[in-house]
Amino acid sequence: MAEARSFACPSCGSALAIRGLENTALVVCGQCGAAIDAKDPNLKVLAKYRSNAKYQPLIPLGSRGKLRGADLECIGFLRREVVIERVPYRWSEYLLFNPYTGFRWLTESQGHWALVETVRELPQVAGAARHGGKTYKHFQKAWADVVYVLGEFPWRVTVGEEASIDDYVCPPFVLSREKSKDETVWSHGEHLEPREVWEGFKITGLPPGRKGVGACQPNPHRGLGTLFLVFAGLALLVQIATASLSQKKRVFSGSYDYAAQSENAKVTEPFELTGRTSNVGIRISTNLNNAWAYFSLALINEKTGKALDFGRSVSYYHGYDDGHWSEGSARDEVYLGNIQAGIYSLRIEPESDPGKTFRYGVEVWRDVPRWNLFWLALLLLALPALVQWIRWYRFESARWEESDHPWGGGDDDE
Amino acid sequence: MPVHKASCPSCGAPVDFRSSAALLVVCAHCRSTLLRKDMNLETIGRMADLLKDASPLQLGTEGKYQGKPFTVAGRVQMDYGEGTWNEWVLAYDWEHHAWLGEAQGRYMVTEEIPVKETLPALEGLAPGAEVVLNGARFEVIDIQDARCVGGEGELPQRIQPGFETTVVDLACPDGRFATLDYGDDPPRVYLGRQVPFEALGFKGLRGIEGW
Repeated sequence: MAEARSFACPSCGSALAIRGLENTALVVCGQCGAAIDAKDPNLKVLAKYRSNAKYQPLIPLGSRGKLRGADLECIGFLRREVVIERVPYRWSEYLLFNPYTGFRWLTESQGHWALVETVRELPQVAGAARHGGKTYKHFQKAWADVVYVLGEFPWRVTVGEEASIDDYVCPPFVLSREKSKDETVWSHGEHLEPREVWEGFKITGLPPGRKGVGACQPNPHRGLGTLFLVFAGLALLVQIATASLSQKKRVFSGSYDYAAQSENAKVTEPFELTGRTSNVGIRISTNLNNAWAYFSLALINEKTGKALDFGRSVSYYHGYDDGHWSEGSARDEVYLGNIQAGIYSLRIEPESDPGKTFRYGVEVWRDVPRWNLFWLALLLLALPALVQWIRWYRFESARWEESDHPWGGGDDDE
Repeated sequence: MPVHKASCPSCGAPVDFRSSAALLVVCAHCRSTLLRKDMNLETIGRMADLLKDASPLQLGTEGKYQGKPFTVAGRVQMDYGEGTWNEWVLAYDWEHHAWLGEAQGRYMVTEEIPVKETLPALEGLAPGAEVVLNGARFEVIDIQDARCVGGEGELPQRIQPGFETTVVDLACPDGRFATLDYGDDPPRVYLGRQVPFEALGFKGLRGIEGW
């Protein structure tokens, strides 16, 4: 373990250690709350704080751990408080020391942990803060008080010491500006999973549960948007490839007159469907106007005589009351799937109101690329992405709920 | 890089000074402050004892900054009331030098620079205030009263132990740091960067027990 200069508390006689070497300016006795000037050869007591330890540090002072690859010894503990709309919020700060790389802070608030160090480069602030190529959004401004001190510090920290803190977040990072009367200090923190802290300091038992969403806690609901785009892109490629291989060939076209009194059943000239087994599109266009027609249709295989029967109704109505309206269409289009190559004909038998006459045309198309499956696939892919987005949104609004800028609260983002 | 060997005019102990920029050498044996005049050394006083500190550096520590190797040739120790910090002299190839401000595991490499602007009076400065140095805008981040404790090794300028000064730390969003030393009139300006410990590639550090 570390070499620690030890001495007896001048106030209560408890054994105290100095682990921060000559950096330590102040030691607060855990037994009696005496704040001792570590720079004074006579160990002058500067103040005396509450004798009953109200807060027990979760990481014992003097324990050494490893966080993010750095060896660090816990030497000091602070409880700080902000009051927002008359509600006090308290959090803990653990001072971690390494003689080569200096000090770090480990902060804990409602079970959320972050490893913090002072920044080397001054961030640029214009509403949001820019630092190291990232943009940090303003989260909260508050006046923080020190309410409890334990252990050692490189400056003479006092209970009641005040600073104004502005937090800016870019999860998993947080950037804070602390302004006291003679200093402005920027620090940069990174979210830690409680497990990392517990493993790093080899603490037994379980870390305290997290309440709510931490200011810089990474949102776990992410990534599906990209995944969705990837799969949608793949589906599009497949669709385009399929479409480019399609014949999309008109194999028959004819037009006929319908008159109620005459024999209206027609059988077309045979036409040939070629290529792979694929779809056949039947397009019917009419000059129906405020009228309807029903077409009984059959695609007949000339060789086997097998008929595929189906019916289509076409109706088109329009008029003018309280504005123009229309219903239906004078055209229709239908696709029959899985039709083998061969010689076919089409039987068409329209019906309509008695006495009605109209003209209609029929076209038969072979192997037409279809987009309906593609849209369906896109919809199915979009569903999980949407669900994920809702989760992401709920997580973010829970985070910002605790900030000065709650989402949907009508508060602008500065 | 010739090593100039001499002996201390006070105690006779051998004194090496290698940096051509060195103006002052502190005898490691008797702590006499020796002023260098060409090849001769003249005793001008006795250097105050340095305070024990937690610095992992020592004279002779080697390292690298921006690809250039350096050797720690000297230091000045400053006391700001709640603790001390060091300004180490980094000798590059024994001709040029830079300063390495070091305290509590933070390292700042700076060089003294001339500035075009007239610097603001100390009284008008507070954290957050703007100071322009050669056209670049800096922000005051810290103002500290300090006292020179003493020095050791080879120093490029005369120092006066006990001399009180006020130093103003400045930062710029492009990552540069500057320090204004109001101990002189006009204030001396040092410009550089804060550098992570790992980036300095130190060799020959002082061992710290337990670490």
